[in-house]
Amino acid sequence: MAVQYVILLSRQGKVRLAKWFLTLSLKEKSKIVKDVSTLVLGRRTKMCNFLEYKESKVIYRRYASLFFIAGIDATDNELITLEIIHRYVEQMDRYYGNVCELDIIFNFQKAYYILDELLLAGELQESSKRDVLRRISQQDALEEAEGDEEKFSRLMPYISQIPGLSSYDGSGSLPVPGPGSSSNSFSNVRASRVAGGRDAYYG
Amino acid sequence: MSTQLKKAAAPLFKKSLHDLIRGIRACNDNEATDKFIRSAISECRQEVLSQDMDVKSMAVLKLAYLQMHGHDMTWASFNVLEVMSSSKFAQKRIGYLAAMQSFGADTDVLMLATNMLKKDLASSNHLDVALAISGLSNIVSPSLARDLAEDLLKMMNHSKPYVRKKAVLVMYKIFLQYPEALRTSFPRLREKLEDPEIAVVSATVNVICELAKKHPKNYLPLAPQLFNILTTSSNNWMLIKIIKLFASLAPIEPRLKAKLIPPITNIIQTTTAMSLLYECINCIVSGGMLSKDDEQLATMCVGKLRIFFEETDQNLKFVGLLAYNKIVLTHPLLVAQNADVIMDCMDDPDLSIRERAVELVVYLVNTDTLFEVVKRLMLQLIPQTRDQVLPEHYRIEVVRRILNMCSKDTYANVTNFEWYVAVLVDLAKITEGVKDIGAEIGAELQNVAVRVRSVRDNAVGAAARMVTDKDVMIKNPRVLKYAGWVVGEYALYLDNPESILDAMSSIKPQTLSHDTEAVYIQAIPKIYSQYAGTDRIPWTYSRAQEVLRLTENIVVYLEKCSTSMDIEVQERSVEFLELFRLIALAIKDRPNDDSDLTSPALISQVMTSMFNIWELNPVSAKAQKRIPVPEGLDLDEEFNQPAVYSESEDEEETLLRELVMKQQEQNSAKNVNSAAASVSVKAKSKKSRTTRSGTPSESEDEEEMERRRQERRRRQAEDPFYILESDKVVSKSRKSRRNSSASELSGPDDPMKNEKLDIDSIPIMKLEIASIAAPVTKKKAKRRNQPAHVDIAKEETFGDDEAVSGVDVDEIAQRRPSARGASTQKKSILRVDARGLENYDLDSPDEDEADKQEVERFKAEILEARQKAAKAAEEEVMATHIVVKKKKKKAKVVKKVKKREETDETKPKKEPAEKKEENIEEKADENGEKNVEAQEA
Repeated sequence: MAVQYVILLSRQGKVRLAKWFLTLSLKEKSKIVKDVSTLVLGRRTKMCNFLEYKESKVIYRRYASLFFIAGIDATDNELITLEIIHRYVEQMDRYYGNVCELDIIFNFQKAYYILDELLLAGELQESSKRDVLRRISQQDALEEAEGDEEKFSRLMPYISQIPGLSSYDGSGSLPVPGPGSSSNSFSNVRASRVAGGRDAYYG
Repeated sequence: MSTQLKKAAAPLFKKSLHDLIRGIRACNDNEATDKFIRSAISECRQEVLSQDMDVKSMAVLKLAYLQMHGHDMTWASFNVLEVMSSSKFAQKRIGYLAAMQSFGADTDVLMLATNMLKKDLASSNHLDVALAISGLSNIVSPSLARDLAEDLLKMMNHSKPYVRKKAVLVMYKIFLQYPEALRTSFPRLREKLEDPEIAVVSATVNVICELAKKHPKNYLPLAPQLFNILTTSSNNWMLIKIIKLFASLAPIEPRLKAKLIPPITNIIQTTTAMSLLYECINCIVSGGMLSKDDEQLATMCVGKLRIFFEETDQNLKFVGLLAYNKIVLTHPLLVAQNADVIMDCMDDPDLSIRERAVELVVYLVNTDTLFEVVKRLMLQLIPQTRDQVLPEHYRIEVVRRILNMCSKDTYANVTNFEWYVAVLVDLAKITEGVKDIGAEIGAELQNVAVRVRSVRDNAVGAAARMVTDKDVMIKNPRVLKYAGWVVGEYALYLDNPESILDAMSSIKPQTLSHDTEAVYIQAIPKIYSQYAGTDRIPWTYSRAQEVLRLTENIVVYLEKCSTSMDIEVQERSVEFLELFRLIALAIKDRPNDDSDLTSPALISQVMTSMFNIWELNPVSAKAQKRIPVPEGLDLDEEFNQPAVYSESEDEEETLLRELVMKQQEQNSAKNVNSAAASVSVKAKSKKSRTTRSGTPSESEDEEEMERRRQERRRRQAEDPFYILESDKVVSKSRKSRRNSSASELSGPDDPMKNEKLDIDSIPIMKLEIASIAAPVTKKKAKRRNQPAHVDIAKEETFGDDEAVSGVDVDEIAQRRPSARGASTQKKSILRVDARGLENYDLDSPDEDEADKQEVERFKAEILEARQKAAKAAEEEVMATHIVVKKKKKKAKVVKKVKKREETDETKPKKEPAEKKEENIEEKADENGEKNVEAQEA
């Protein structure tokens, strides 16, 4: 199994997302989250992004105020896992438009949906950047088309900000992000990745 | 009107997810948060019961959010299921999200999910299908896997590649839960390697890669196809997986190596992607493609890895060290060429890089670099400032590595042992307060003292300083067990034995651990005999008084120890206590002037003979086993008629414990037996005469014995907890022990009162192998390393050396299990349970089939037996109805046997690869039919 879990952790140690590709009990999950959080938060910026935890490896990278953490098998490739993490961040950035921590907090389900399109059963399912976003847009469009606009907006106040399929012209440029996500003052994820020297181990 | 209004307004009062999150964020302290969340959950409890699906799904979404923060939502499982089955995609999505987050193996509502998942998988909307597959990948259980495997198989041929790739990926999860599905879906999985869509091929490679890790043999037939992908694809993500896959296949098919090396070399030389480069090198190393004579390949790998260190990227350094750590096992010299960059990593600010570097350096040190490397590591251990103390596990790791690299290959790299002893002393000082490591340093000091005669003087001096240092006793007490031993065993080298004795005997009981105390009690008489027994100083009156004072001190100390709770300490102290009391008496009996200048015989003869007859040499752990059994010795033959047979298991237990204790005793002190023996000879020999040597002479007794023995054996045979063989062995070893101890003790009757004891008449057990078998080859202090010019005593053994060096490595490995090695023994929850797949062989016949065959076979056997019985009966009774019955049975047997033959014919054990596939398909069809039947039924 390539990726065992993905955890998004704020600098204060708050979990922003926890996706498990293993079946574990809530207690086991909490234990791992706790252990891994302590390990990762204790690292300084000049250190490498790999850790050993029990029989597995923990790969993490900090983007602005968030730590993206992935657990992998001891035999798996650390460098490509960093690449997967980076891919996920890129995708969220494009989807939310200049993603920040608050976007992920208030639309946590969207972060899960994107991850579900990127990884399945812990394996990378799509190496094309465009394809993942296209799928999400399709799903969102379906939701949108599905029902009563009023009811819907009550359910998800943020859905109106998410561009539908129609606004996606297919030429690769993505729709302008909604006002809610760009007007806040939180630091920008894309611009300021903190750790690591090299940008990509992939090609 | 009013009810209508109520209905419309009601949902507005419910909190949305947004409100929930905002509310939580608004809480300032933990208490308020808890309170808020509690109330939110109880609201959700109401909301999930709502008839309004929007309200219900919103509640589920909120619960999923809270679940992420560790709040249980398993109680809402059924409601999650309801939301999952909603017809609206938005709600379905929420339902699946919640299910993926909260469902576990023990979720009981999963049983109800089968049909819903089936329906979603068959949906005309591919987004529904995709959602169901994603969901299934997280919640799949064995029964779900069994029931849905068929549907997923169909999805692997879905018209949309989007669905196909998901279906392929989820199959791995299905296989984990239900390995049988592998047989039916393998052909299709194979087809997917040729899929026009790259994402699907990539997914297939991912799945096969994971499968091949568990049982590579099944996937060898795919090698040509995979090889094709390897050479043609340019997708790095997939290439990494395919190379990993080949790393699993290569060890079981050696011919692959020649095929793989050209393309992989090509990738290594052309790729710019570090992850791919790293994977290629990893594949070559862990795929077993790097044998000792592959110089060129190894040079390339090692050279490419050097690039990793030339960048400033810490991550590359880390993985580079990991790779070097693997290559160094086969090509230490090549890696050593890069010692400069590796050594730099030893001082890296990142501890995980440092650890890996230190691990690697152990292999790279030689006589020239050892000094420098150890110095650098030692400097790390000394904290520069108060707050710069390194974490304990790292310090232990570094100390272990230092000891490791110095003691490697019986100190091959150490040229200056005085320096090494100084290092050990410093280490003991630096690691004050660090748990456990003191024992390892102490053991090393002991080892050096025993093996390296030239530096023994030095080592003893260091040990003496440790023993007298009050600081060491408090901060690093574990080292004292070994220091105490060294001081005792080599008391000859002590400059000032008197002060050591004073220091040792003034220690209050319980300040040291029991095992250290036991060693001290053994060391004290050794030093004493050295101090008092020397004939260089004349026994003047003042000298006698001085010795008497010391003796009395020791008596006081031993008296205190004799009430110790530890049985070992107690026994040793009681034994020596008697001896020292006698000595004190003997000294007091002397005249009060200088008329008699001879020392008491107890000191000059008895004490010295206890400890100083034989030189102690290191003996290989396997030497005992290699002593050839002398001709004419039958270990199974009884020496003696057994005396009494009333004992049961518990006596054996005590016996075993005794044996273990004896072993320990021998380990720490060689001569305690003879000492103890001479003290209590009288009592014991008497005892042995009465109880042990008492072989029953009268024949009556013997008969009685025999009867009892038979009875006991019968009883034991019926006792399921009694293992007969071992009983024999144990009882025999006990007898032989008794026998030998009896012969050991057959000395003069009263050695203590009669001071002119003839020591030589006490027989010392000599093992004269030379006369019976192969000559003993004593390798005493063989010169190992020319440059060192230091004699390092090798372990003594019989026969060839090779096995001995093997022992050495084993011992080191045992003594210092690395931190990581220890942790692997624990079972991790992060490990995927793939036991089903590990033993799943596609070539072997279906398990069910095998079971059936087995059953058939048993039936046939039973029938045959019955037939025989019937035949016998027939001969006796000759009744007609029996004959009829028998005929029927016979017919039945024939039928069964025939059937068995048929099944055997359809399942040939081994077939060439091409046929295998057909076979699998056949079986797939069979299984399919079966399933259809089952469904119809």
